[in-house]
Amino acid sequence: MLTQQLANGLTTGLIYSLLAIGLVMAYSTTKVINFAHGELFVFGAFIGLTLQRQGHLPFAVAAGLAVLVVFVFVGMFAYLILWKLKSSLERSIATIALGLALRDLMLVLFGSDSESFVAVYPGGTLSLGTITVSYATVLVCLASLVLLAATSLFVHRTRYGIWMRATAQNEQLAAMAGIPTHQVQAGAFAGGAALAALAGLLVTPQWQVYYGAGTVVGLKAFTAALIGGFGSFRGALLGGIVVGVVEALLAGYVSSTWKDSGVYVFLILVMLLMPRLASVVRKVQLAWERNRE
Amino acid sequence: MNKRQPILSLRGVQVRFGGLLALDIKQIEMLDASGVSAIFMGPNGAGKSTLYGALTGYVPVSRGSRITLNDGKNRELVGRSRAAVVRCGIARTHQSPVFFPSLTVREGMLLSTRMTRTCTWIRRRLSWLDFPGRNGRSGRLVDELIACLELDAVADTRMARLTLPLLRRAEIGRCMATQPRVVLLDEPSAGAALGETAFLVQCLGSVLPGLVRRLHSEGLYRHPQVAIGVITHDLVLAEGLAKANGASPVVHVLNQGRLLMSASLDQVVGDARVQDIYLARR
Amino acid sequence: MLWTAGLLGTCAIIMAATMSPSQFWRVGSLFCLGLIALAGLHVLTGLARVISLYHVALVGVGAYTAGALSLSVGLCPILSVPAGVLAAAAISFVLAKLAGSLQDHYLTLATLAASEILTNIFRGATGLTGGANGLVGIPPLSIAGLVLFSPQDYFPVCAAFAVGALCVAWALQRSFLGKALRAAGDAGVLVETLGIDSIDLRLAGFVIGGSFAGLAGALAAHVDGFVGPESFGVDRSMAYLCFLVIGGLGKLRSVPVAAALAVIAVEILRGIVGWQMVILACAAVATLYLRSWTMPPLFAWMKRRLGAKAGVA
Repeated sequence: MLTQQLANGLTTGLIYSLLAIGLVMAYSTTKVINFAHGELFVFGAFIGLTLQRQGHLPFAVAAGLAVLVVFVFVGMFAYLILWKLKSSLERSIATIALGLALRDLMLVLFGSDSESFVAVYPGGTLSLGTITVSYATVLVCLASLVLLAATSLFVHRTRYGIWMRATAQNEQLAAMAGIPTHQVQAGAFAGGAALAALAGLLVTPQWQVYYGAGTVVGLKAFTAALIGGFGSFRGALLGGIVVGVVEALLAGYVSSTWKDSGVYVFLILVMLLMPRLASVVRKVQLAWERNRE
Repeated sequence: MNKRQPILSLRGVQVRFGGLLALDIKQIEMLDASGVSAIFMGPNGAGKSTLYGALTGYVPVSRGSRITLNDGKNRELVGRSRAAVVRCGIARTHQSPVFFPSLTVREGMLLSTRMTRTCTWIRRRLSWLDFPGRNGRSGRLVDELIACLELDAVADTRMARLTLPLLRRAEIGRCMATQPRVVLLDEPSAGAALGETAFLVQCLGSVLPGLVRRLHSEGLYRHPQVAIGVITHDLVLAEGLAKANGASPVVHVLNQGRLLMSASLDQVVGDARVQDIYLARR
Repeated sequence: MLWTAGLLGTCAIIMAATMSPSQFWRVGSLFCLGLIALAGLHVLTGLARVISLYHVALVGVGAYTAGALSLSVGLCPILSVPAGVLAAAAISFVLAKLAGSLQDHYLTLATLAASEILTNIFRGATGLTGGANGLVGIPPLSIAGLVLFSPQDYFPVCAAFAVGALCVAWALQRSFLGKALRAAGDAGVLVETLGIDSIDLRLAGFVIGGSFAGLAGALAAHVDGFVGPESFGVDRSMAYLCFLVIGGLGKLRSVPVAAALAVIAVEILRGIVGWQMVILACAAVATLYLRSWTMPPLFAWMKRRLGAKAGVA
């Protein structure tokens, strides 16, 4: 029973990791928290859905187009608007307004029902010892891992990725080094949004989304990013898995109605304890290094 | 004048940043006087601003440090929050002036004057509800300070629009408006032209301390005098302050987090060790 | 303020001409209640610049407390309304104590989490809150035995509270506490140089804002007779934020403007236009954008043209 819960948690956790990495990528380069991240997750899914149903396009093409649309849209939003606004308060409000606009746009266009794609993943389940997982879940896990690895490679190996990391570490210095920071930041912001949309597209064939799911998903993504320290990829990966597992355990052992609230309480606890945890970790590190000398 | 007692004493103060010992002071005392009573000098990175940070709660100090304010009662300052230190009567300026961008100079100072002599708990809580206007005691204190610092021309300009020397003066004014017992200035004449330095010598050396004594006798300032500490690299300023009106400030030279010597300005300037560390001969 | 009053007055006249009397008084009452809640948000987000995303959830707390108490214990409105205020203030206090020391972004996240937790409680704690169906049959406001059932009757009470809330907000803005809150919003931790702990200030801002929200909710419970979990979600808080921004964040005039927008968007345009929130959110972004320009290029060009003409002529 426990292992089954853990397996479920791992799957959802990997999705949260994807979202968290998008958030971390956007935040570390631009120092703006994208409060519309959850809404972009749903938005990408809905665009893909429309393209598949109305446009009669195969799923892969619809998904690709949806991601592109989200990337371009958010990129332009970031380039034109977010950088005209000077203070971080105004930028945060702008992302909140974006989230609100998207949410209500989806409500108007798609109604309040839950939607999912026409069956895309193969059906059937797989048994590994005591755990039963569906093929779809396995596919989602694998896809998430592949995407995570791809993003990590992009950020660490390509020139654009290095530009992003430089801008994240010291914006002024990056600009002086000739990096087009404005575009890099807009690109990073858009890239984070695209990852969110990708996550949404991965998820909807198997699970259903409705227009209001953005808030819930967004908050869990924030939790995952926070646990990972809002900085590194490994952290976001770890954070996502932790959130997924905690949620699964809460759903299994406490109650299904309160699992979300449990995760949010966990978020607040993490936020409160983070500084102390961080300093404890640092002290341990220092002690370990001193012992090695 | 009675023998000068220390108004601020530090004992065994250590500040660590990670593994680095940024400040390691066995003992420093700032003597009580009306006017400039301590000048802190030392090459860059010596720990002078860290010392201020330790004194005012901006920087955490290691256990075992003792920082005491001796103004009648011995108050232990270690562990107090920054706001609590200000309430005790210690104000400081920063190397890069910090200010409220959208307030005017006068408004910023009026906001600071809430440190009035309201003694009872109830009056202090109720004082949250009213705002010291331009008339009334706080207003007069602010007017006097503005006149003393020659900020009349810019008193009603937003602080975000001031030039650097005026901003530094406004910051001094804001500090003084909290009616401190000890004011710690961090490089007040950095980047200033000679005229500004001369003004600062005049103001900090004689005008400001005299003003505080006069305001106290009129009941507008809650302490009888104010002791001023100055961090500076500017020998012109230091010499001017050393010769000012009756004060003979003690110069404390710091190097690499430690106190090298405490003496008068002439002794410090002539000392070979001080010359060595400034010219990096060692 | 004069422009705002004129604008609102014109709206009121148009509404009086086009609506039935009871509808008019009802919309007016909703305007007043929204004003109370928005005054609270103004204190926290307008003055202290803390983005609070759980404000409407606090309104819900006030509403549910007042409603539940008057239904279960039979508490009369004179007592249940203050109880609602106290409940909202208590929750704000707890959140501010827990999360007040966090940096801005994380504090906003904490309020977001709080809003979701509260919404889950509204939906889930069926014993207390009636679950998805909410509380029904809450007795209307009554003063000294006089039952205020119809909109004409309860409008004066709502209006009185609204005027009172505005006056309190105005006095607060002018007081030392208000100036300190504004300074904290402007420059963050710098208020410590004034000898005020910024955490205490945040606590004050949260509790005052929360009390206003609780008052609005408690009154709304009695006015509507019904409290349901659907109207207190995060999207409403975000909408309130956008309305305040459109009205001019930080200025007191944003409160009545935002209340008017809230009423127009939620009540009047509800059946007609489905896109109102999208438009309003875009309007909020536009307001922020325009304020960031020091002078729109069009105006600059016009000035140049006029200046050239004047010079030549």
